[in-house]
Parts: sequence; C-alpha cells; structure tokens
Amino acid sequence: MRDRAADRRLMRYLHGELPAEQVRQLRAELAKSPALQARLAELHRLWQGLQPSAPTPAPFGYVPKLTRLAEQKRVTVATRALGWSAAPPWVRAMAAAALVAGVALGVGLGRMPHGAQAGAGPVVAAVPGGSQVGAPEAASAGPSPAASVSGGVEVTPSAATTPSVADTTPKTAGDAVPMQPRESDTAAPADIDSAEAMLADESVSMSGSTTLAEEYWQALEGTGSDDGGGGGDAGW
Amino acid sequence: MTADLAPGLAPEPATDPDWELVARVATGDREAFGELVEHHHRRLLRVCERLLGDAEDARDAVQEVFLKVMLKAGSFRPKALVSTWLYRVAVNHCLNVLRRRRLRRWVSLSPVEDDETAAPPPDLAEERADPHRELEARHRWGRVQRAIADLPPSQRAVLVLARFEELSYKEIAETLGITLGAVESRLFRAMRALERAQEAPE
Repeated sequence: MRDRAADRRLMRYLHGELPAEQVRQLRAELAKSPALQARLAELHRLWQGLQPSAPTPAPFGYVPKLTRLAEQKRVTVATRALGWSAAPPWVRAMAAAALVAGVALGVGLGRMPHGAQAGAGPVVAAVPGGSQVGAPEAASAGPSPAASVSGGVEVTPSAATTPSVADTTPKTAGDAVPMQPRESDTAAPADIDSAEAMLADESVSMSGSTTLAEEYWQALEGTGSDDGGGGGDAGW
Repeated sequence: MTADLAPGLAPEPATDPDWELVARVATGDREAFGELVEHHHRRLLRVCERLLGDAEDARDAVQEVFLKVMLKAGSFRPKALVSTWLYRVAVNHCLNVLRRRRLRRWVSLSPVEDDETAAPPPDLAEERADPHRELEARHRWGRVQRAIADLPPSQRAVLVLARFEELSYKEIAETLGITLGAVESRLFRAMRALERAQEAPE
C-alpha cells in the first residue's frame, strides 16, 4: 500500500512544482531513505516513459485554406445576421400567425357559396356598369356561351353590376342562371335586338349544336346543317 | 491537498502583442487572422492531435477553434497570454469531441494493436541484455498505452498539457479553468492509473 500523500509530494517534486523549502526538506529525506529513493525512481521512469511521437506536420496550404474558410464563414454569419433568422422571436411568431391566418382566410373564402361571395363583394358591385365584370371566370376564361349566342355582347348574371332584391338571394355554385336580359340591356342598340331575334329563331338556340359561325358557313355554301360534315369537307 | 487559484492566476495586464492581432481579427482584418493562425496553428495541431488521437481530427478541430476565435474575438478581453487562451479554446473543443466518442487510440504514442509491434518503451537499456525481460517490458509498455487511451478526457487533458506541452500546473489551471488542486489531483489519478496498468498481470 503506497502512501498517497508521499506520492503526491514526489510527483510535485518531479514536475518542479514543489516550493524551494520543501525541496530541501525532501532531498534530506531522500538521502536517508532508500525506499523513498526507489519510489521516486519508479515515478520518474513512468513519467519519462510517456514520450510522445513527433506530431504530424500541417499539410501544405493549411493556413491559406483556413483563412479562406474563415472568410466564408464570416460572410455566412454576416448574411445570416441580416436575414430572417436574426429577427426577434416575437416578430417570427407574428409572421407565422399572419401566415396561418391568411391561409385560413383563403380556405374559408374558397368554401363559401358563390352567391354569398358575390353578395359580399361591394368592390365588384361598385364597378361602373358600362362594362361587365361579373363572375371572375367570365372575365378571364374567354368567350362564354352567352357571348357566343348574343353576338359579342356579354350577358352575365347581373348580380355584380346592379344588385337587386332578387340578386341578393344566395345562389349555390350549381344553380343554373337563365339568360335574362335586363331592362337596361333592352334599351341597348340594334345588336341586342338582333341577338334576341337570333334567340327566337329555332335553328339557333343555346342548347342546339349550330353556332353562328356554322350558320354563316352554311349560308355561304348554301347547304343545310343536316348535310353533315362530309359535304362541307368536300367543299373545302 | 487542494489549492485554490493562486494569486498569480488573477487577470494580468495585456502585455502579449498577439492581443493586438486578436483585436484586429475582431474588426474583420483578414491579414491579422492569417497572422494569428500562422503563429499558433502548429502548437494547436500538436495538442489536438495528442488529445484526439488522430491527425485529421486534429486539423478539423484546429479549424473549428480558429473559426470560433474569429467569430468571438470581439467578445474576449485580454487576461493572459493569447496562446493560453487558444489552448483553452482548443482543449475545451477536444474535450467536447472526446466526450462524444470514447477514444481508443492514443496518437502521440503509436497505435496499439499488438504489443510486439507497438512502439518500444523509451528506456530498454537494461532489458535489452535479456530478450525475455525486453519482451516483458514491451508488454508492460503496451498496457500503459492502452491505459492512456482509456483515461477520462479530463485526466488525459491534464496529462497531455503537463507531459507533452510541458505546461506548469498554473498554466494548466488557467488553460482548463480549474484550480491548481484539481490539476494536481487529476494528474495524480492519471499517473496511478498508468502505474496500475503497468503492474497488472497479463
């Protein structure tokens, strides 16, 4: 069993950590004690035995590479500091909440009945009545069936332009809205009249397959619509 | 025997000229950073290699250390030598690495797979006269190497700094941020562990 306190003192002596006065005292003890000398020799041998091999030298270009990396890191950190991640948590929380609210609002509006949307659209209703800006799809999806029938005059549901008691009735998306010319439209010029005349003609109906263009070509060719495509094709 | 931080460990005036380099690094001076790396990278590579047991890991560690230094240079205040501060950053980084993985190799001493092929003990003058004793000494040395690899990181750090970097107890205490008593205690326990390994029967 070794004396721990004595070992510690010997180690401090070996490592040069013992105060000068204690060094003198220890040397005096060592001179008188062969056992202490032997123990010191063992510790010295163990300590000296811990010899490191030569460290691996730094590879060529290590310092420039490190400097380059550091510069990149600095730029990255500086950029990040200006970016979103540098924003205070409460700002990020507010933004996230606004995003969620926006999405929820969008989904909610998307699920609302069309009629309710139209009725709730004062902005749309406030558009001057000269042009027809009813349903968004009518404005963006090109000529509607109504347009093809009425010879270029758009006849869209009038809820958007002139709200009336009847128009405030909510309509579902599946509601079929009959084409009813408004009173203001009846006072329109002759093209409206001709359109109504066309509508009255049995050969031209909304549900029929004959379009104005077909009528026109049939008239040119002097053939009836019953000739089928074969005759027409032969004419071409 | 536990000693508190000696009076000498109190912050010293910044007399190290490298602090000026650090201050320039804090302002984004690329040249200053290059100079700082040039001055200190060899020593840090050496200590990291001895702590981590692998030259490539040591290069990665030193790279991380200098990047930390660059990013945090502005927040450090001169207290002692820059080299001590860098040692501290490096050793702490290595200790974190070591805590994540239990190291089984010891770099500064050759890898130990077989006692026959291991690095020879440093002093075999007496044993060389007798082949049997020489073989026994080699086995004993191999056990010491394995014991070093098995030391807890905190003890290994003290051993590396004391034996291989030849730092004083005071410098080790500054570097690791521990007391002189803790330095002595860890070193003593490390040496006892190595001695037990050396004496252990096959």
